[in-house]
Amino acid sequence: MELDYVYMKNFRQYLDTKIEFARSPTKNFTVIQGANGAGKTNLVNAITWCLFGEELHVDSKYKGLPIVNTTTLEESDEDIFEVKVELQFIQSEGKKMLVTRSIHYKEGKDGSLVEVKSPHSLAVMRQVGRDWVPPTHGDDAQYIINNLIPPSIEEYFFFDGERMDDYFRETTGKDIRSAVFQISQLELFEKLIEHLTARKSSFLKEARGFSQKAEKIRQLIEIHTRSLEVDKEELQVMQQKKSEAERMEREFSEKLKNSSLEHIKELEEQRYELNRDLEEIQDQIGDIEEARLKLLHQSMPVIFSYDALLKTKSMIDGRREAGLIPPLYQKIFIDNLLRKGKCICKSDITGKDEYSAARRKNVESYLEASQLSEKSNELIESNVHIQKMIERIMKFPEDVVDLGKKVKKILESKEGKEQKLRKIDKEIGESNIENIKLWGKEREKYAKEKERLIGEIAKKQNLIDRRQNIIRASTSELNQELKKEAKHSSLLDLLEFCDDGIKRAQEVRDTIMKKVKGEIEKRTSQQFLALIWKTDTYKGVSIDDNYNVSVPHVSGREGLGTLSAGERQVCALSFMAALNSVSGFEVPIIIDTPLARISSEPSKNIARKLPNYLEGKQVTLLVTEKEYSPEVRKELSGRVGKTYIIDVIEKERGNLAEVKMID
Amino acid sequence: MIKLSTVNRRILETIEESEFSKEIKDLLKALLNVELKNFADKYPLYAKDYDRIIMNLAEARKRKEDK
Repeated sequence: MELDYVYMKNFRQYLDTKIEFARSPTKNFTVIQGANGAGKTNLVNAITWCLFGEELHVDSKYKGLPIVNTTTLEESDEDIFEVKVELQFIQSEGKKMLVTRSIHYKEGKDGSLVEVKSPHSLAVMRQVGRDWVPPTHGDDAQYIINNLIPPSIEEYFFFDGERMDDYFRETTGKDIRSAVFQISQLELFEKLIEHLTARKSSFLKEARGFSQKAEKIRQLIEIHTRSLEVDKEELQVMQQKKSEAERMEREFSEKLKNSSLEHIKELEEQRYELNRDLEEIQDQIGDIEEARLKLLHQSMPVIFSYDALLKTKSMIDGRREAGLIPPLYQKIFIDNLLRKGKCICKSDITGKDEYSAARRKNVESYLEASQLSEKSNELIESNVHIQKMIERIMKFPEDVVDLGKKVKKILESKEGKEQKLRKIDKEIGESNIENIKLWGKEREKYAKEKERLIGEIAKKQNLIDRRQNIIRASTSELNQELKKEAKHSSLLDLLEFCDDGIKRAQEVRDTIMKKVKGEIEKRTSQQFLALIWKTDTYKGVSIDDNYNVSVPHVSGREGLGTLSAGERQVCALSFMAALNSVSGFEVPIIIDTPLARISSEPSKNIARKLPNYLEGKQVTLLVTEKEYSPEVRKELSGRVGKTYIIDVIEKERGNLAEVKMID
Repeated sequence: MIKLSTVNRRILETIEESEFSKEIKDLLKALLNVELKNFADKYPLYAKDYDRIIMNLAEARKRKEDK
């Protein structure tokens, strides 16, 4: 979907202005140049107001003021003033869609402006074939617009570049997750899961005629389900706080690392290394604890059977020594002898004579013994296993002691490193420089807060797991109980269908989320590395499982906190471009002041590469003269289809904007 | 008639490519459509739509299983 034109009547400084946008497949960039205050941001505001009834970024000088043009108010003889913005889109197959939003004002008795309400303030007209169908108004019109451009994601299509340098400073992991969710419409899926779960609970709640036992289980499920929701919300808040504490700890640590004092820099570097070592030590302790648990699980049943094992072994050994265990004969061998009619010594056993009959009887007795012989074989094999188990029991104390020694050694090393850390903290805390002291204290405060929250999160997670287990077990118990009565069969079918739907919806959500996050991370990283002017400085951009964004330095250090304003803007721009690429929405992109914080040489690089990352998208750039330098103009020339300049006409009651096409 | 042109194609592809039963696929698509409609509403009411869809498709599944 492309934007064909915008028409503004009496909207802020635009009196009567129409701007057509570039729509050629090769030249789909429109550049609108204007000085600060000329009306670039209000042009974006006109578009978002027309679509959603709200302006995206209202400048402080316009806040609280009606959107009507003040000069019109002053000079018009009319009783009613109309403010109107019209947007024409070209949808697939060239069909047009016209969105018009208007608002009317009249002068009140006290001279103030009064809005004249109209049910037709928003209208959407669409072309079907060659004809235009009658307009749709009000909520229905808004529904059509929201389906094409969901309002929750408008800020990823219409955004202010100048505000983006602070995007990752002000944006938390939760916001990034929310952006990924919104852009991939997974929010709809979250709602779907939430609502399907609620309907399932409601079916259960509304059902009648339960047995006393079933009723009790139902109540238990209800209580735990309600508590689970609260617990989950609390967990989310805790995780959010933990991420925030981590971010702050990192930020103050970076400040110390970038201090002009060599000694402090060194101390903070040491701290960083020590913390990394401590993390490794913690992992090692975890591994040993796991090994110890495994050893206990494997050895305990054998240890408890120790007496029985000893007794069995001594019994088997005693019988073997006394020659009471039959020797090993293969049944198949004896069977063969009897079939062939031969003795082991090859003499005939089929004859009728006395000797032959005695030999045959002898061979037959071996057949009986061979059956016992197979059992004795099993007995001897078991005895070998029993011996191994007894040896394991004997070795158990030694293994436990060995693991204990390993833990002790690691703990000693841990203590040494922790001591060093405390010393560093003390030294930084006692610094003569106020800033260093403050940063050290702040970092320590957030580190403690993080540790506290990790503990709280683990406790809460444990509680949630327990509740989920109770709900699962009780649900299964309730199903069993309901199955006893045929009258509940329809309810059971319904509950089972809901459960299946919830499970599958979760699967789809998780699959998409993983895919989308991975794609956004990869694209953001690639774009950032391509657009950034410092080569071989950063490894890229990564987004962790909690959706915290980091920019690792090649040295392994976190670099987000030390990026310059321009670098931060590039990082956010890369993220926005990545979100757009993977969004699946064909919405035009409008960027207000995209190069505001970036100096001339990097701007050239961005102008050269950015179009490749927004391939196929219709893009409008609102730029200042400084941003649209001859170098940037040259780099973009192959992609720009239309160029405009906004001239400012100064008026007593507020400036007017006049837009002229120059190219 | 399920109209899903504006739900992100990735979601639809993932549902279509899955090995879920037809009724579950229809359920997810129909409920997504309800959510999409709710998206545009300030105070959405979803319960009625959900119940209608769930009951219809649960019944369809039951009929299929009985056959």
